[in-house]
This record gives sequence, C-alpha cells and structure tokens, in this order.
Amino acid sequence: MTGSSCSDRHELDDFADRLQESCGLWALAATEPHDCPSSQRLWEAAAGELPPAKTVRLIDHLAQCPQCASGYRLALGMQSQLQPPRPQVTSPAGTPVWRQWMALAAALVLVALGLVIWQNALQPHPTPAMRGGTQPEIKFSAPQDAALPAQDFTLQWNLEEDVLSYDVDVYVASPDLRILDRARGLEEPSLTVAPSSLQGLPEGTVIYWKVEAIMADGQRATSTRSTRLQR
Amino acid sequence: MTDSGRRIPRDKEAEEYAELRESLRRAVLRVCPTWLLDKSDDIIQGALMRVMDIQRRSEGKREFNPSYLSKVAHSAMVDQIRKLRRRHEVPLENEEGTAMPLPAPAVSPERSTRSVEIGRGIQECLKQLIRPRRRAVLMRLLGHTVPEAAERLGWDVKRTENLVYRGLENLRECLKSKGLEP
Repeated sequence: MTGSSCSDRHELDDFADRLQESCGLWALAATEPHDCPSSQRLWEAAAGELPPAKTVRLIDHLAQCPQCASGYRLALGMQSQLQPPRPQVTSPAGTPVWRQWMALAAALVLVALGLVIWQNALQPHPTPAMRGGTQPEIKFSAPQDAALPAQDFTLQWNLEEDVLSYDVDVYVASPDLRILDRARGLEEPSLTVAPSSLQGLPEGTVIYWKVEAIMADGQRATSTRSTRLQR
Repeated sequence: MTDSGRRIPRDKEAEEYAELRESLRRAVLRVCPTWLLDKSDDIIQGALMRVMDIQRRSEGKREFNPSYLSKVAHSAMVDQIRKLRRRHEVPLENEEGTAMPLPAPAVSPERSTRSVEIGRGIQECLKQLIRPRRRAVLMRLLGHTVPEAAERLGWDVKRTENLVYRGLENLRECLKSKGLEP
C-alpha cells in the first residue's frame, strides 16, 4: 500500500477499532504462558517509561500473549484516567531526557536554517486521530455520588461531539456484582432505570453507570459515574 | 465484623479503610472490561489486601496517592486475568476443534465465541506480518496513537504511520482469507 488515501485510512482505522473490541474478549482464550512480564513491567511500558529496545521485546511478547496484551491495555486505560488530556502533537509526560535534548538540538538546527523554514517546521502537522489519544470528555448532569430518587432514576450526560449512539451499563458492585440495566444504541444522552430494577436495593446503594459514546468518526469515549440510590 | 477473615480496624482506621476500598473500587470499575466485571469484587479485595499489607509494613506511615492505587488495582486485575487463563486452559475447543464459548456472564455466548475466533485469527495473522509491521499494528490495537507508538518504539512518526496502515491492510486481507470479517 503506497500513499493510501484518507478514506482508505479512515476505513483501516474503523477496522482497527472493531478489532480492538475483539481483542478484549480474546484475553479469555487459553495460551501457553511463558516468561510473562510482571504487571509492573506492563505498567511501565504503557506509561512509556521503558527504553525502546525493552518496549520492542515486550511488544513481541504481547503479540503471542492475549492476557498480557489485555493487561497492557488496562494499564493504558488507567493511566489515561489519571492524566489530564494532552495535545496529540506534543510529547507526553515521561519523555526520556535524551529525546528532549534531541528535540532541542533539532529546533536549533531549524533556527540556523532560517526563519521561514523554522516557522514552517513549527506548524503542527496533522496526525491521524486514533483511539487512546486525547479522548473527548463525557460530562454528566449529576455530580459524582449524587443521590437520585428510585422513582426517577435518570442519568443524563453530554458530549460535545458528533455522536452516533451511546451504550450504557448500569450496575451495583457490592455486596455482589449485578447488572441492573443495559442499553445499546441509545440516541439520546439519557437513561432511566425502571424502579423494578432497583427493587431490594437499600437507601444509599452506590450505583455505577458506564457510558460509552460511539462517534461519527468511529472513535469511542467511555466514562463511569457513580450515583447513590435515594428512597 | 470480618472481611475475608481479616479484622477491620475501628473508628478512624475503619473510616480510612472504607475510603481506601472506595478509591480502589473506583479505580477498578472505571476501566474494568465487561467480560471481567463479574470478578471485580475479587479484584478490589485483592488490591485492598495488598495496600493494607504495605500499610501494615510501613506501620501506617505510607500514604497512597491515586496513581499508586491505580497501579495496585492494575496489578490485581492482571492477576485475575492470568487466573482466568489458567482456569480456561483446556476447554476452549470441542471435539470438532471449534472454538467454544467461554463463561463470561456479562457477554453473550455468540459474541464471546466470535471474539475468540477473531482473536485467534488476529494472533495467527500477526505472525505472518513482517516484524516491524506486526509491532506497529499491535501498538495500534493496544490503543496507542501513531506518535505514541513511534515514541515508544524509537521510530519516526512517518515510518510508524506507514507501518501501521500497511500492516492493518495486510491484517485485514489475512483475516478475510480466513473468513473473518470483524
């Protein structure tokens, strides 16, 4: 494939996104584990804290080990929750020092080449948007742990993007995990859980809402909110 | 009151314990994939026990920031995934060699079976890719952007971009040849 067009790339991005979903469940497949890296190593690699040679070795292992690949994806997901969104063109936090020096040296060379070229070089070049980069933020109408009445247990949210649909899972995690409601392909950013689904749950029960937005460009954004049940 | 045979500290400590548990629960549930949700209580408990153990060894002097708690929660999740692997080592195929659905309560058997088939297809097709494309495609499937993949692998962005898309195209053709079209 030489010089593939934007539409080709768009299609390939969609294809990769669909594969990512399968990759999650793929982790349940049995493999013959050997020399699996520690969870600490997976965490460091996902955070970009390993030198390239070690990352390459780890990636070669992940190609054969769906469980470790899943652990890596989880680390990436957790780290993105911890960090504020970052612009796609700049280097993320944790960039090795030698890379920063190289970037500085490159900038100085550009200065020497002249102002025009330098200015041109500083223009941000478009990079393909992929899942795992800056994720659009889902904003919820209710604050974290807000109380919602059982008779009108409705959660609303908002996302300033071109959204096709939303998938929502509503569940309690304690004392036992139980799915209370599940909606797929919602067009409106709102879901009401029927009072019958909340029967037997005591006042103050923490209920989790996992909202996944599927956007027109194929990207997805996920966020979880907890609310408390009010009787 | 006991929790998995452990004595829960009282008063202020009990309050801190509850807060800690809640923080860990949030860290886990925020990213827990659907197929692992039914194990989330075990994961939270495993993470909590680790934190309590560290706390005890430091005689209560250790403070836990959200980043550290996430790391502990991640470690507990990886352990749980590896436990699932051990549990499912044998029964993945029936006598005809067809992939069997796996016991993942939050996922339909059809979706589970299909995903395992596709997952295996991905694994086989990745093996056929030339090494740099394989690495680039895997970074993409793991959730990295092209610049992130380039940085982690020590490549330049343009090269990485080419490898990702050429590799994805190869992967798509390979899966198609196996009758797999996700």
